[in-house]
Amino acid sequence: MKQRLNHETTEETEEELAMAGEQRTEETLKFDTPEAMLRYDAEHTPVPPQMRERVMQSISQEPVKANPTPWWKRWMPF
Amino acid sequence: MPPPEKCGGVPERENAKLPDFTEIYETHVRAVHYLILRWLGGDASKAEDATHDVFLKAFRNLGEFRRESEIRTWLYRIAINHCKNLRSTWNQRNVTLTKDGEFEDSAVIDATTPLQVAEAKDLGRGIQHALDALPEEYRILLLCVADEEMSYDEIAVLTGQSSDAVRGKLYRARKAFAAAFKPFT
Repeated sequence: MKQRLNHETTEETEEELAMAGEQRTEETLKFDTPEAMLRYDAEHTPVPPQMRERVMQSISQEPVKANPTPWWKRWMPF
Repeated sequence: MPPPEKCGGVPERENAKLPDFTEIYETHVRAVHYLILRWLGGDASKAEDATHDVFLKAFRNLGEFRRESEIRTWLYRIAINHCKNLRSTWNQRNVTLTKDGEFEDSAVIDATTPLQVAEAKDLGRGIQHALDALPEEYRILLLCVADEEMSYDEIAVLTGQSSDAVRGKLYRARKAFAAAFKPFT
């Protein structure tokens, strides 16, 4: 009997914890300043995962700028 | 544009710049992407394209970067100019975002009242709504101040004004943001 009661109590506690968890996700978010709010938002805004590859691929296709020939070499090629 | 092989080959350039640039990208992409996303009305695909373009511009101009300012400030400058150009093009085509309107600064809002939002999912929407309602200058200030790596002095350099002016305008920017965010509280 005592064992069954304990079991029921444990089940209830788990249920309560689960409910509390759900409530926590809908908890009011409070911020002292707009910048604190923006900081929080920035931390929770991921960069698209494909971005890195896209940027690096574009960079690898960039041409190398040729070194300009100095004016005196153009006039005196020897 | 000539193919890379005809310009002396990419590997040489990669060796010369890519390691540094990869580090720059890793360090700053999150902040730059967030600034762009919020600047462009929260449109994820436009923000992705613009972030890509900003880093490409940064790569092309890395040789011109002078150590007078921090890399973050330099990247923000490129990003802000790029976003301004995009918005101006969109406005000319009449296709998109709400134009920066005149903001009623007379709103009776206490800038020290905590801002709250009932549900996390409303946060992004509320922030976007509030930022879109702000004049460009206030938007820049708030987004930059939210970045803990940016000092008032750097923001002053970026926005071309004194640190004192930044502090003064920040108070009004906070107040304006709080007023615009109010419907979401």
